[in-house]
Amino acid sequence: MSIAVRDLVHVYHPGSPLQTRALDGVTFEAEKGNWVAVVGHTGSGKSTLAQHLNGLLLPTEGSVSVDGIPVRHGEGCLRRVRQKVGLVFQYPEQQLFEETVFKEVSFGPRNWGFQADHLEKSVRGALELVGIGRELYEASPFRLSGGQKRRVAIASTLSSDPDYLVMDEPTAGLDSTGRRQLLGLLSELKKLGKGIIHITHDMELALGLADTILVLDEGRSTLWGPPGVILGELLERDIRGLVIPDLVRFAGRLRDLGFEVPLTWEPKTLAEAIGRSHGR
Amino acid sequence: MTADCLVRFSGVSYTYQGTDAPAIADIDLEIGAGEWIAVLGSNGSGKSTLAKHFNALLLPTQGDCFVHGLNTKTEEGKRSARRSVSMVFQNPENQLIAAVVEEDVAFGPENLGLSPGEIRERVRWALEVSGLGKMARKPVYALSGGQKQRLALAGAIAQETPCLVMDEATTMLDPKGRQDLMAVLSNLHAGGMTLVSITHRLEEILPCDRCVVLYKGRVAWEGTPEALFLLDEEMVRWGLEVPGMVRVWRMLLKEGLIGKETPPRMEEMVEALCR
Amino acid sequence: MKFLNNMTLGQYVPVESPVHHLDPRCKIVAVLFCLVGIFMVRGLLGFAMWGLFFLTLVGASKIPARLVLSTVKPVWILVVFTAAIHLFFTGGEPVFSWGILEVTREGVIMAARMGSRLMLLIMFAGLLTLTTSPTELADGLENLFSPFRRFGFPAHELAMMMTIALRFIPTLLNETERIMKAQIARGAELERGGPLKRIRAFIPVLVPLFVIVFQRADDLATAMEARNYTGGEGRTRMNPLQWTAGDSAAFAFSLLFSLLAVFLDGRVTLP
Repeated sequence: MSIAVRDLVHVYHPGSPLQTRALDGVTFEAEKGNWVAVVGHTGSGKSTLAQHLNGLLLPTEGSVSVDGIPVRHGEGCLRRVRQKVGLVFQYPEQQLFEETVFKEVSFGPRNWGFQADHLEKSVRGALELVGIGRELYEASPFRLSGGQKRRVAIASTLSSDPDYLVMDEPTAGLDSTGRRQLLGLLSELKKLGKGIIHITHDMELALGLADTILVLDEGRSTLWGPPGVILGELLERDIRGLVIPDLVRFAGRLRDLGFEVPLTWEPKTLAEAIGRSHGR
Repeated sequence: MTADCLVRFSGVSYTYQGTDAPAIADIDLEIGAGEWIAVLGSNGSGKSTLAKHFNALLLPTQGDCFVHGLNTKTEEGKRSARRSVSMVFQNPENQLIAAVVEEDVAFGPENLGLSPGEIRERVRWALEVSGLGKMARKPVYALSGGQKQRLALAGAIAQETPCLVMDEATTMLDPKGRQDLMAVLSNLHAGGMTLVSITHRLEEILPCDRCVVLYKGRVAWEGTPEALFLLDEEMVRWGLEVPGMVRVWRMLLKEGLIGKETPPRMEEMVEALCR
Repeated sequence: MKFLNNMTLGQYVPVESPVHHLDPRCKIVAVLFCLVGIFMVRGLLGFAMWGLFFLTLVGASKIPARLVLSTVKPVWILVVFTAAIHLFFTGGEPVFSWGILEVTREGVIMAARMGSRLMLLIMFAGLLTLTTSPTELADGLENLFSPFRRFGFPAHELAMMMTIALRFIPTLLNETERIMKAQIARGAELERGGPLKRIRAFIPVLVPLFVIVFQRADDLATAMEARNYTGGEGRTRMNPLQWTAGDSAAFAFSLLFSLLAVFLDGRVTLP
């Protein structure tokens, strides 16, 4: 059971002179318990792709299905898909609107028809997962700090207990503490068996945390594979929008000069390898 | 106070109305002409509050700020501050007034009552320096986030102030946007402009002359970027993350594989290791 | 991810054309005369003349016709509704009957008249905003209203507010769309239900928008202050308004054409 995307094409404003082919053939699969990073230059179609995964957009050509449910009109498909796939937009704190944190996080499950006890449990569970303490449940979301707001916003998607989580640049604008907390949360969610689809510009993050990386270029999926393979490709040729992490470039330079170091983005690994190689 | 000191803070504290604790407290700071200073701190450390004192957007509730020797609490001093210090803010969208690129750059000079010819010349130059020279007549909504931020920068440059403060200006940008912006800043600094970068990203402090670390509203540390990189637990306490390159640099230093004179920059490190 | 493409809603399209180069004051007042003229013609000749004038203007402005037409899109319902009211509720000689709805000959003429008037009105105004940047428009209006400043009329402030409002239309549209999508992703039903239900369903969209707008106002004010804005006193312009012979000619022509259309329309009747 997974999210399966096959030859996905999406055209905005078809037939009009403002027609744009935002997606021009994307194929990949995202499984539960797996972390997929989606990378690509600005305008490569990442956001458009994300919105197909929970049925906010429908394919012009090709298909998207979530655990066997096709993303199309009719038979309540879209509603079922949206319950299974939680989508967190960039700067999700902008969607906060309720009077209290608790009400905000209840919005989603209430819409999906969660009843009394189940609702209460889901909301509390989500807030605990993101690290928002009980003392804040009745606070106004607008009075929280930036980092807290973001966590409440994410909790408000988690509370519907989706099987998959699509996140568009979740660390945007966060400082290092916030970033670490958020990445910790994503790892936790993956351990809980959720499928993570993570859109990011940060190659270091993608290489370091994802199980598989999907590379988009001009609306097309050009590469799909584990981080090692993608890194290999990236070192062979320039891929638009993808930046080789500094450490990897450093390692590459040293290798060219005869050092026996792995192409890694982990400081400790690299430093130790340099130490060993330098001795010789 | 040094002779060519551009900005001086003396015991500056600021408490927002309706709050008890000051957002910044007892800040002593001196910025000389031509320097590139980084002000570092995690979210909530008081960075933005501090930033707004440079051009008298905020006046200290305690202590004084001096720009070119004039106290910003006076009319004269406030005017001097606004004419000496321009600023670029975090959100690219919320700084742009006009719908067309060159019209927005013109906004600042127009407020100064300059002649149309002079305004046009400043706009042309500012757009050139910011790499937006070919986009003068483009509509603002068509720009990417990084381009919008460079437009905001052009607007600040057009004011021809000796000092420029970047208040978390790269925080909302993608890697390419950040790269382009930093390139413009490097050129400006090479041309003699005084820069103050307010940031939480340590990757950006390498070109700076000096760093000031803010923690809970106070100056926790001051020194060169290299000296800062040698600190460890303090960085964790201050909520700052050391970039990977710097971590490797530290470990290599510790093992004696490179000497202290080698900066945490790739080329220099490669060279040092090959010797 | 654009739902109403930014090119619609009459957003300024910077192109080199004689119409673009006209002084905004000339364009604003000329459009007003034309609007009066459009509402005063009644017959086929009058409308034909206005149609021809309009098409000439569109050609001269080098703006693609479909863009000008698209300015009607947001309000086409209003146009259709108005035409329909006139079509079905004008008394006179019946021409067609459908149940309780009766269409009269007079009704058809009135519907055509009102429909055409509205469309021409909207498209003329659209042509104005398509060929004049918000700053130019604001400068033009500020200048036209400046004699009233002595009576306390805040000409500059209104002009500045207009510039800023117009500049942020595309931004706000994008943000509205984004927030709607974020709430739909959480199961909000924004498309279904009766009017009351739909209004309540919009609170999760309106509240965040308000927050964004107020934050924006705060940030903008700070940015403007940092750029030495202190109101209209002492402000100069990069492109000061300059009335040229071309503007006088265009203005005179619009005025004369307006009068001619109304005059001929009354005097000359087509079979």
